[in-house]
Amino acid sequence: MNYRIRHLNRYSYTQPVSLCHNLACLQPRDTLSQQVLTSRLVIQPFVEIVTERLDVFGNRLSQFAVEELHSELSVVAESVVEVRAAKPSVAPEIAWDAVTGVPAKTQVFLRPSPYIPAASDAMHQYADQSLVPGRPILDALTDLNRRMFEEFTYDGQFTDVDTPVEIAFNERRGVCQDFAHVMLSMCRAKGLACRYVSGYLETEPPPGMPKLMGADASHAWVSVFMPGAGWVDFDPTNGILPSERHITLAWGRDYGDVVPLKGLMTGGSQHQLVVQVDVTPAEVSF
Amino acid sequence: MQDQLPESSEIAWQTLYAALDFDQGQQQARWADEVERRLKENGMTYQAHTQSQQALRQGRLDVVPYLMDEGTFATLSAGLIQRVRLFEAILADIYGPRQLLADGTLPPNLVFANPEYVIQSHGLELKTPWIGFLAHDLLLDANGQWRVLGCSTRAPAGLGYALERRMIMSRVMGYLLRQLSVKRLSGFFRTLRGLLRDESHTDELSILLSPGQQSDSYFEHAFLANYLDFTLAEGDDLTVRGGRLMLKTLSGLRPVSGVMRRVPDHDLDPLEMHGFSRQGTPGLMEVVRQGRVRMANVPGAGVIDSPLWMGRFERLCERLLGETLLLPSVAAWWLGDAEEHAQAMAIWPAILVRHASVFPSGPSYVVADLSAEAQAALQQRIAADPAQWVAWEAVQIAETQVAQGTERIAAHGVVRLYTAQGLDRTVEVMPGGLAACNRDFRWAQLRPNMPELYKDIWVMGAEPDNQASILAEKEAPVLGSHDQSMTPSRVADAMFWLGRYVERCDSLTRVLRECLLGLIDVRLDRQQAGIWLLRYLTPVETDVPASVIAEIHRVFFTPGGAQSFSELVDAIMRNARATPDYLSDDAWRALVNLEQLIARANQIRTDDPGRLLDQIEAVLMQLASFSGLNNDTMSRTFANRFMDIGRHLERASRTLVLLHYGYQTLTPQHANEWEMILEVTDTVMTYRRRYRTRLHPVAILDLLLLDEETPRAIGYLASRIERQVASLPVQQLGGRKTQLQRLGFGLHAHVQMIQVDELMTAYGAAKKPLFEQLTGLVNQLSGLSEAITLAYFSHADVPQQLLKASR
Repeated sequence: MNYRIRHLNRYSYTQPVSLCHNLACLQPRDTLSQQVLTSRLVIQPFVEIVTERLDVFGNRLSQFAVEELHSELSVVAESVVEVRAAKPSVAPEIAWDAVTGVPAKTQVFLRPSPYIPAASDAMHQYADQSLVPGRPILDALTDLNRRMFEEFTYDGQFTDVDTPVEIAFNERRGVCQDFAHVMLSMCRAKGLACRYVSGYLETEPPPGMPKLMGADASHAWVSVFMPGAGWVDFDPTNGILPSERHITLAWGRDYGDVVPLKGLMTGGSQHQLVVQVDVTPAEVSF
Repeated sequence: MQDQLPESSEIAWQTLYAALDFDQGQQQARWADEVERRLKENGMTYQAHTQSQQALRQGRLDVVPYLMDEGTFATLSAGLIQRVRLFEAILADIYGPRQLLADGTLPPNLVFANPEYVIQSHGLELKTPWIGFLAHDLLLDANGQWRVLGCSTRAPAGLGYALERRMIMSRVMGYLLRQLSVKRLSGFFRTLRGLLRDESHTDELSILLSPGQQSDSYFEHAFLANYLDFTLAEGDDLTVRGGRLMLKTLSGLRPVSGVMRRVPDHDLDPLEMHGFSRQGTPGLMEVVRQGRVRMANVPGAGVIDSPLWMGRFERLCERLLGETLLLPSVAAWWLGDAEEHAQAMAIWPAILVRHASVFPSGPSYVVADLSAEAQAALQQRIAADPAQWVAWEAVQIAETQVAQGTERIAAHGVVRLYTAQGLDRTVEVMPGGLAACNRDFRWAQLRPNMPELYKDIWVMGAEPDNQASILAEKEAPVLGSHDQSMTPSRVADAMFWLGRYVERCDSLTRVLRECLLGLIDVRLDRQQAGIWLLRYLTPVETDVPASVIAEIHRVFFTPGGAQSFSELVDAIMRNARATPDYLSDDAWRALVNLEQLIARANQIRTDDPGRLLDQIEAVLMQLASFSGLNNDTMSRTFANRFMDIGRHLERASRTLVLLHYGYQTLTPQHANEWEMILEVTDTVMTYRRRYRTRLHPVAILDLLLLDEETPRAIGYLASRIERQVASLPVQQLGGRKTQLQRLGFGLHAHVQMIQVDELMTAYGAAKKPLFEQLTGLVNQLSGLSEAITLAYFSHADVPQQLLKASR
């Protein structure tokens, strides 16, 4: 399945900004189940130099600075991605608490990270109900994923990007970022290597209604390393295992490693951010 | 220990001890006093420089140096140079191909659990060394074996103090340094400077990046920057433009090609690093990545500071360099490794335990000294995350003698030596440094950053050195001072406000002096005049002199009050601290005295106005001394010009406001009040000489408004301001100088156009246009102040974080 993704970020300032440094993680990476056919970044006002690089996890980063007076900055990423249905991996029968042999480089995903400090006792206990000793890992995590979907409330107003994991957990509410951080925290507490995945989800329009532009949001989920099977994704916000409707953008230890767009401005006083994401099936085949 | 030293060393010790023991050891005691006195004297300056009271000053300096012969130094040097090469290889791997992780040589947690691991440094392709600068701590064990305790990449890590203490030692016993052929330190600094300064681009700057005055070692930063002739800069002074690091100076943005860094890695670049810090500047990491600035040390290099590594360098050295490690480490066990954990526990509690926080700070314990409960608690903390802990064997450190009166007693020293690495990767070891001494050898090992005592390390050349230059280390910068227009805007800003606040303090003090003199006078009309003058500053309800004096205490001498002296002095000190290398030591002393005087004045009882007056006189003396020093002993740098402008603007506004108040509330009959106005403006004598009449409002206005020779008159100040503004550096961008010039010219012309007889009746009553003129002048002054801020200072230019796009 091919998707065309348009991800727009627009900052408007109440006063002109003389300098703005930005770092974008908006261009998707190739994975085992997806291939990026085209991807480009359109920045306005025009900037002469955009430096691209891969970070330690292999994500595509773009850095640039707007050095002229401007009162609006828009960054649009347009990509076409081919997603193949994830190969049904051999469901590992290995018990979650018998997992060994995490490769050295992957062990970075075992440690607490800036957005995900060590889990609280309450989070341990919550995880204990699904991760009972000896239970096969896929089964255990699918259960945790389902419980979070059922017991947590999706609430776009309750948290912001810097809300601590523990608050989202204690209140059992938040958005996909919070769901992902909570689940990651619990998995790491149980000694499982896992990472934060940022990406997109194609959402079905209601029957009979045309698909609304901009209705799709950027999304986040969890990926857990299982020896023998590799990385297996879980989407606790929807209680499902990601399929070919999930398009991966980037991954890292937590949200902080893969912020879609961040920046520092000089001047400008107040500012506003508008984000629009459109994911549409692409008719064109390349 | 001494019997194991080579012969030449033996002779050196004999020479040293003979000198110290002269006059039944009185020489040692006298020198010790002298060292103490000089250290204390410097300490006063330090205290003024930093707000923190415990700013790394706790270690005293022993009068007995730590002698090291050339052979030992050569052995240690070879070992340290090898270690630096090893560290370079380790860092290149950790932040590059990570072979050491893949092949199991390094446990991943040694890197990933390390708080100094900087994920953003991955993939850096450097043209410079990772470690331009490194401090190494070594100890000599009781068997005569040297071992390495740890290292610190945090430049300058005590380097400034080492330099300062050497200067003190050479002042006190310079001839001994010469006699023992003690090697000089300055060559080392040339290497360090060479790494960070691009001599092929002389228009480019090298800076010492400091967290600023809240840092405990701010003085050391200022001291080192001065010695290396680098600009002392803070995050707000920097910006990244066109892919280059720039310093915001008085003459616009100037490229920076070298950074000696004292800002922690994680605060360097708020764009890339987690969290928001103003100690660095956004985009800086990318400039490093592109190789467009040389930095010592490179972000991420701090990984090797961790004590967790210590037990592994032997293996790593063989693996990476194919060499045997020349200098062994102190035996250490990483508790995150099951096997090492078991080894350490086998000899528990005869071990030292330290957290993985960066060496040498962080929690650390002499386990054997802990109670059973405390030991259990520690075990529990370790069990929670063993990867964060390391255990050390407690090394019996060799004894060294420290002075105590006319005697010497035994202590144990950890030796700190420094390496610098050039662009060509040659490593140089500084022939000298500090030994951190403690009577308990375990604490010497565990907390080398908090010793009871420091020793200056003297590395002795083999041959007596005939050069006289050994006598004293040069105090002046290594090279001549750089272009003044490179003064950071922030410094000029602080100087401007320093000038304003000093003047505000001066004016307030003068007014209060006159008030008090009036209030304690027996004549009722003098008392009334005193109260009248006070009302210029603050509303006073009462007419009873004693209550008015109490009111003065409440408003001006209660710390924390909005109009209090302590607030003013705080503002003065805050701005002075932001400009440490622009004020002379004597100017600092005047400010410190001022601070102490105000603290004392705050304690005076309200029924003792005589004593309060004495203190006020003393304050005026210190202010005069500060101003005099600034005029006489300091070169007229741009920075100083800003201080002058600040003073003159403030003084002119004060005079104008006082005139406004006086002419609005007084009639020609208020002789006492008019006299007070002349006293406050220091013009009584001038008035008498010039007019030879009774005090008359028209003559007073003529003098204070129009005169161009009287230092507190508006005419004089306006002409000074016009000239000073005209001599400010031209900004490269914006062309604002002409606007400023126009404002300065306009102010002076305005004063010159004034005709007193249009403003006053012949009988000495003020006409309405007088107040319009006075208000107009005050507005012109604030217009000038704003224009200067806009043209030269960078406050508005501090980056803010944008909302992060998410989800």
